[in-house]
Amino acid sequence: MRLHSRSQKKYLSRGALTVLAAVFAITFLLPTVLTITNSFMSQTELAANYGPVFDSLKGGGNTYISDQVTLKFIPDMVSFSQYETVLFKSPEYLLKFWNSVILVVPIVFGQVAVAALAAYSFMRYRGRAREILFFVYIILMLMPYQVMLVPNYLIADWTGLLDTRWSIILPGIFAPFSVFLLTKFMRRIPASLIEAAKLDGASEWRIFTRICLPQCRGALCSIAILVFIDYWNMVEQPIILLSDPEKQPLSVYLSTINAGEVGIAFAVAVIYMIPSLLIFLRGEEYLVEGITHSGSVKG
Amino acid sequence: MASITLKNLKKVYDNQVLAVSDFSMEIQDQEFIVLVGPSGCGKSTILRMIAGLEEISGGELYIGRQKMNDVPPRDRDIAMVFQNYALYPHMTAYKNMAFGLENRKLPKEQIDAKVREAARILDIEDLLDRKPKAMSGGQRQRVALGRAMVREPAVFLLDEPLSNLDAKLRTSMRSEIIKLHQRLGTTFVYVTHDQIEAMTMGDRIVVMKDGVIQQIGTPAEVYHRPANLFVAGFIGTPPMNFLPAVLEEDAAGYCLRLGGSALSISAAGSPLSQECLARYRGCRITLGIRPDQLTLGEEGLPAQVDVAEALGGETYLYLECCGVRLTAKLPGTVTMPPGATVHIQIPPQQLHFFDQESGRNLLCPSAASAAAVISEPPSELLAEPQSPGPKKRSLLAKAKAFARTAHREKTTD
Repeated sequence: MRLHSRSQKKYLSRGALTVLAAVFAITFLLPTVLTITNSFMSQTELAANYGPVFDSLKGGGNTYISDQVTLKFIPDMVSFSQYETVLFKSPEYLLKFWNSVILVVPIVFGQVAVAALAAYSFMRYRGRAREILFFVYIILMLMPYQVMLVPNYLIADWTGLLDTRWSIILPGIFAPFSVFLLTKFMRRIPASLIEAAKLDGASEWRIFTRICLPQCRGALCSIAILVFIDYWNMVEQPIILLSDPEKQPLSVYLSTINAGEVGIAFAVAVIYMIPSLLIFLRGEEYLVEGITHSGSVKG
Repeated sequence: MASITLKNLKKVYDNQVLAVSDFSMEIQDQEFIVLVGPSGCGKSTILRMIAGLEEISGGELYIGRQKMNDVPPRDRDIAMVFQNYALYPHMTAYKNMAFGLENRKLPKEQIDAKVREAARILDIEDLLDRKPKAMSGGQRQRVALGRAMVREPAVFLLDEPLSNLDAKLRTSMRSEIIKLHQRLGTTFVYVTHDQIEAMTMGDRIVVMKDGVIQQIGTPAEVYHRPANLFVAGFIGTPPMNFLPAVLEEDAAGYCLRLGGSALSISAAGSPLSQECLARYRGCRITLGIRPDQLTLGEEGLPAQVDVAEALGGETYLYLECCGVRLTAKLPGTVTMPPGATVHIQIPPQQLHFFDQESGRNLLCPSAASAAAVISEPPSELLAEPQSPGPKKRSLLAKAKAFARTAHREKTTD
């Protein structure tokens, strides 16, 4: 009898947890699903659903969500008109997309390269200076980016890089988090491998490129994914460091799409999500490997 | 091919731990030297210093005629086989073996020929396209040997290369390495903590303890004439039996008093010199006898059987005698129930006599081989380290005591 009640309790608690998890999952997924399905609605259908919201905005009021909003997930008729507008009729969206690409791609490649070199140094050279420097890296990593915005702004201004893409790219390349993650990963490489390579006559550069990097492929990929997602979604940096709207990335531009273009906003948001999604799906395995190994290794 | 000269090598780590002290020896060209000792005795440190992977704190290292103290590993013309094989996991066996040759910018055809030749010798031709994770321990070991072979180095260094293999594979790989040494005719320096490997493989054995050489000699010398108690106990399976005894003079000559029993040794038949007998008369000494030298008979020292291990071809009897535990290695036909009383016969000419304080073997010619290598107590051993941990403190205390005793022995001699 007791056994029966125990198993009943187990099933009940498991059921409750499943329901809770489902609620969370739906809460997280709902906006994404809404964005994707609504991007296939025609302008008329969107106006019918969200008209009151935008009316209130047009009237100068501050209310964004009104009582009359009808959340509709399934379009009456699938329409590609929003995508047509974004891709073929309004080049500024693609221009912003391109702006995002030319900001993020150098940051990703630059940060991975710098992190790999720095992590290799942290792995290979021992001593008090290394420990102090690594501690500084950890402190920097713990600081939120917003704290560094003002110094970044002042330095960019002083160096004359303000309002250029370099004011975002350069601080992005030298970010401490990747160095930390990769150092932890590289410290897992057995010292005997490096020693074997040394005895095999390999130079330091060859040990780095031929022995170390191939073994950190997972960590490098996971860093690239995290950095891409992070910088693809950046908002504060371009707003503060790039005053020229022509250079603003899509992440910033999305918020400036006005009320009358809500259909386009949905389509742009979907296009905006695609690179992150593809990169995540392609590198999910590496991401998990990189993070789990970096977290579980001894320092 | 090259000889190796190690002159007063010393290694002190950053945390002031003395790993190797005053290590001197000459390794002949084409010789197979085995460094053997318990964990932490400094044997791997010696090997790593020869390889250039560990900085030399003091002393000189020569490979051939060239001083190598400050020469980087890649320029020392040596190859090393690591305990964990250290194969590059992302490369195939072929790539692993070719890597060293590529670094030396050899033509591709030459690299290919060398790799395939080594693979043929080691019988790993079928494995060349496999990555290490798809190989067994023995196969990895062969690839590691192949990687060292293709370079045709002057010196081969092997750091416990068989310790990760199972017992059967270890035995077969042992003979493979011996054959490889004979075939290549190169100097081999082999580190192991397994005394069977040391005995079966080495032309000479270097027994080490706490960073100090205990004895250097051929396997037969080390086995039959151990320099001290440590070597006697370390070399040989099962290890040598030790019994405390007092050397006394009697009407027939001399006798050894073992608890309540006495073992007579005539002055003429004693392996000890007259001078030694006279010097140690009335003194406590430690007797050593190999388990295979003990026999059972009608007369002799009474002993009680604790355990009898029948291994088929031989039987190990674990006995309680004179308050000490002894092991006897007897023919497989012998069977004894636990608790049975037997009489063990100790042939006096097979006995080893050790000074109870210093542990020195009194039979060793002038005990010089032992005294020479542990001559001066190294100052580092006598000086207090900055902040050793409890384990290191204990080791250091033992080392200090040993060094002081050895020094005292030498000065009294």
